[in-house]
Amino acid sequence: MTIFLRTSLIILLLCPLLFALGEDISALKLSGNYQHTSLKEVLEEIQVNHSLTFSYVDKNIAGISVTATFANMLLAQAMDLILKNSGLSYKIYNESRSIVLFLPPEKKSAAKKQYTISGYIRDMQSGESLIGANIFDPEKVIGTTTNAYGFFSLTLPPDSMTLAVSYIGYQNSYNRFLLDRDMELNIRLQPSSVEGDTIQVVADAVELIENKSQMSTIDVPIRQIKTLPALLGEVDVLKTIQLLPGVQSGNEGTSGLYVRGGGPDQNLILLDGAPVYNAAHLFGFFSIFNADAINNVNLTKGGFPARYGGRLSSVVEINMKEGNNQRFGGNLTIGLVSSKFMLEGPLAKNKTSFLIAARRTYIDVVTRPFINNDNGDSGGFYFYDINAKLNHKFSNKDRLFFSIYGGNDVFSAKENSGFNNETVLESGIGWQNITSTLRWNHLFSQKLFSNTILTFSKYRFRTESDEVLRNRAGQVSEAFRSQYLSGIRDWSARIDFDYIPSPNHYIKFGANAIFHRFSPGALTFNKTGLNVEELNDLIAPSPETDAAEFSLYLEDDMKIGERLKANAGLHASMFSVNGKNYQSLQPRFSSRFLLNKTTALKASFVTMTQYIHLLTNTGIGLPTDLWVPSTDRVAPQKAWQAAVGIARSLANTAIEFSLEGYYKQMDRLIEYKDGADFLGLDTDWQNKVDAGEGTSYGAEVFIQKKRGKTTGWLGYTLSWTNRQFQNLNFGNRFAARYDRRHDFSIVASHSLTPNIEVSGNWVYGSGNAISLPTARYSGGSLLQFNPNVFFGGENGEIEYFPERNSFRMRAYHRLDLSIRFHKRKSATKEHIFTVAIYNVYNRKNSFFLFLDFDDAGNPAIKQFSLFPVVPSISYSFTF
Amino acid sequence: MKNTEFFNRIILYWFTLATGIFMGCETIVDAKLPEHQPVLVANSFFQPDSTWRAHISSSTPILSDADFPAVENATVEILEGPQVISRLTHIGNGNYRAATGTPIPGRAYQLRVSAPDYETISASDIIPQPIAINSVAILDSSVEADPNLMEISIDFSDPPNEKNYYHLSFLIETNSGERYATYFFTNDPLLAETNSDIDISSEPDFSGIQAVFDDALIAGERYTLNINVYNFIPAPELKQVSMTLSAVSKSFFDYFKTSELQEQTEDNPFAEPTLVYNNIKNGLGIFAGYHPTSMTILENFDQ
Repeated sequence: MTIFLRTSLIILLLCPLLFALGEDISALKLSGNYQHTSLKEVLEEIQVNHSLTFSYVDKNIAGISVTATFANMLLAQAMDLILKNSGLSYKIYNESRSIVLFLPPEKKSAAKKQYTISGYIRDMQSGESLIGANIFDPEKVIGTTTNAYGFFSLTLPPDSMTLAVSYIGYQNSYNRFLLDRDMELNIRLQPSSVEGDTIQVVADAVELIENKSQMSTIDVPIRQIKTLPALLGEVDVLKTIQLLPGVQSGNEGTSGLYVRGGGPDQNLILLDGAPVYNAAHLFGFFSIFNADAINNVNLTKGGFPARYGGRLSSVVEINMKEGNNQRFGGNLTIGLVSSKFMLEGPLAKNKTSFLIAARRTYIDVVTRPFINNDNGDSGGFYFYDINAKLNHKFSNKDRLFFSIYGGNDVFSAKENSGFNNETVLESGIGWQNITSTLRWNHLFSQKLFSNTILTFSKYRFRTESDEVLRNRAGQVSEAFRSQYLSGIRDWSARIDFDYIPSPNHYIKFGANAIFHRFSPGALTFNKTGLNVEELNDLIAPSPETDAAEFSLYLEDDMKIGERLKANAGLHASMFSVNGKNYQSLQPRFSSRFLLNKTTALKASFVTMTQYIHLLTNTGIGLPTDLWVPSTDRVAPQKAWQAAVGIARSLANTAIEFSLEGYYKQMDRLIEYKDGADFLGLDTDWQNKVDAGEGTSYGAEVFIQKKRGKTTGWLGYTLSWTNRQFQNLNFGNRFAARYDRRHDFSIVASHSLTPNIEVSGNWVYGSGNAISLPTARYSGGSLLQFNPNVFFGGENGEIEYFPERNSFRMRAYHRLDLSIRFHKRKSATKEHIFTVAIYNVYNRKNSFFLFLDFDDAGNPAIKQFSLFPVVPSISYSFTF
Repeated sequence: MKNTEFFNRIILYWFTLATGIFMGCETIVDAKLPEHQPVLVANSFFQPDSTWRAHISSSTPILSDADFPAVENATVEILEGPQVISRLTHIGNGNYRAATGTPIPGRAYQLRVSAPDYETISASDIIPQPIAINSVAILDSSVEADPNLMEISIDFSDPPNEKNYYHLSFLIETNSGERYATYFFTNDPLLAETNSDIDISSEPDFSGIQAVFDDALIAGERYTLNINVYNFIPAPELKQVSMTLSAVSKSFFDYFKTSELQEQTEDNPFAEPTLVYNNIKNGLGIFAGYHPTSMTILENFDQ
């Protein structure tokens, strides 16, 4: 049973009527005769007889007995006699007529025992881990946060305390107890009854922006993601991340991420710890993440702690839900382009739970009437994905998770030609992602938490064609089949430890080993038929390459005094490929200095190394982009980034404000040489790439409101991003394609009533940098100058580009709105009807520009735009 | 059709279809291109066996539909060091030619052109040393699959310890005096445009009427290049087929490669456009030296 203070510090002003203020209680005279009487009884008797209040910790006086006799003795003398040999000291407070008993410092030192409180913070209804929840003692101004698995540990001296637990969207939990031993404290938080309800977060919470040593990191509440307007009603995690400062979106409608001047390959996107190599469905118009299956999304774009490695520009951590371990439930959503369902529940209550979510588009069904014809031509495309997760709690110390994701994009077409349809051409492309994760959480002690994780990740792209020619008799006279495959597979093992020895240190360390298998492109083809020389061949121009990547890290998030907190660490990595080894030591540092209670200065410096590269020359993130390793000829990419900023909580912590400036230098970036192959069917891709460098610098403002009826954020980025390659742009520095001077976004959701919420976002971005010619001129040819020689081919005209990416597209801006109607049938059943409008004012943003002719035949610059105003509806039923 | 082009088509087809379904549309935009002030354009290739010549014209803004105006009142000079060694005279339609004087290999020459209303332009280049061609052989004058094909081999030595660049072309002359640059093709990696050795069709790695290549694969070595040449003139009309293998300057090579790449990628909206090499200061164009070695490879002695 928890022992509380018998009497806390009760202010004597509560009873001013009994005693005159200012009376000197030290003049009180006491009498008593105690023989082996417990100290507690003695104090209680004095308390009653003289209207005094004693404050003490029960256990400090437990077992102490008093043998003393005194008469009309002054209070101080009597207390000395009573406490003789007890080891306790006291202090008299005249004004409050109270006496506090305490262990003197030397006694405390002797008994410098500390105890640890640890446990998990979870959702009361579903049992889901709450990641980044605050656990805080407001009296002692000390606390911690839960890790990615909902675990926390806090080591403190014995004392009575109140631990407040808070998490956005949940009601606070206050827990009073006496810390007199190591304790386990598992807390389940009750979700806020009203969406966006105003919940007072505990002041001084550890997770407040100004208290964190880390910078350049943003948590995006999944609730917020779900309420925002979405293209064609498809809620998209990556497109929400694109609305954050420091993140550029690339082209209209696509889900690529360009973080602080980095390329799309420089983002480590982790789904339950497994890397995702192509997060795009349908050429990037949708991302592969089904929001119904997601618990948490976190973006880190700078100030990387040592635990992260392998990419230069960002880490996007996406954790799947664990599955409700209390009751069965789920939801069903029907939208314009897809339908999806999610089902979760306990297999053994409080022990084992599962989650399964699936989604499929029906674009193929909708477009079939427009594509199929009487000639037998047909075609269509669709994608689907499935998320599943199983978790089992063996004990409070051991928990096992298994999660899997599978997604597929399929495009196919069939075309008949010839007078009698004697030729049939079937073609198709497709790509596939699979990730799976096996995770074991183990608590070695209350201060040492471990997470062991095995992952598998696979990305495969294929394109194929079948051409069948039949003779008049209907026999196959010739059949030609070709298929191109490329991809990457990863197997990894990782172990992470969280060691929390005291509130002033949070130490993380661990190791990671990844085995990569790169398949940069294999082509198979065969030819069969009557009177045909049969072919059956497999060509692997760039053979499969195996590589191993190892890393170790150590970091400590330490509090140094009251104002300074720092996260310092080291990430060491090694990459081995074809007998070539690369090593890298990457120091990481970030810190905050509290200027006052709500404002902190922050600074960080990190170095990063990336051993894998993405070959792309389209700028639109096609699935044909190839992942390739560093080799003896192509060195790893490297970067360093420095950032400074200021962070502040406003409006009673309801609003977070941050301003950051950064500078990033990237080296050994690779790009296809001009005119290099699209598919990369080269004898050796290394012949076709150039290495160069890039810089990015700028400033970002982020103002986020996470609580209240109105939530959302405002983000602004001012940035410059350049590239320099020896063989591109004649060696001169040029603006990167996604160099965007101004990038602004405002995102808001507002609860009109408990059942109706409206959301909207408006984005504005300077136009992308592209290359456009400004002039034409006559070209020269050697043959042209040979007199009387007829030659064909060249048109003799050259377009003059002042330099690469010297032209800017029109500024991009767009407004999206949505309204959601909730109809709650019971505590667990709810209907949600969503109406959304994408691109409300029908802005024709440029997808790409090209030279053409106008109706009068004059040269003109044309733009191709996607997505005019697009309304959508969706219906969701949660049960 | 090359396999890569074939797959590109499939992917672009699907991408276009996908974007079309998403209601993509084309509109004319009032793009504010930087104003282009027309500049002089000089195109001049020079070699030891010919007098100096150049074509001088003017550039035009990209959105102008006017032809490139020939500049007929320019002063065109060739300098060696500070010394003007030749002045070219206009012979019509922007073409200029020197009456006498030929360039000498290995010497640096400068072209200087000035004209009213234009900024003076200049450029420098040299003629490289000639190629040592060891032999040229016709392996088969009537390839079985196509009687109009000739398979030939060119044995030449790449000069060691220096970077060398080459230009190759074939010329057919008829008895009536017509001369045609004829097509040739090869799978030889030296000429392969994409370095690709994979083909699902019978198309070669290179085909065209002229090719430039460097010595990256053969640096300083003797090499035999196998080429298939089209001879499309019937025997009674044919006078001869000749080959010209030229050593060309780096400027020549860069200009040719980049202009060729620009032409190849101009219809692909997703490819980064190629910037064409330009060595004309204050203007545009090319001033490049080359050193041709020509050999007759087939002659009709029946005439």
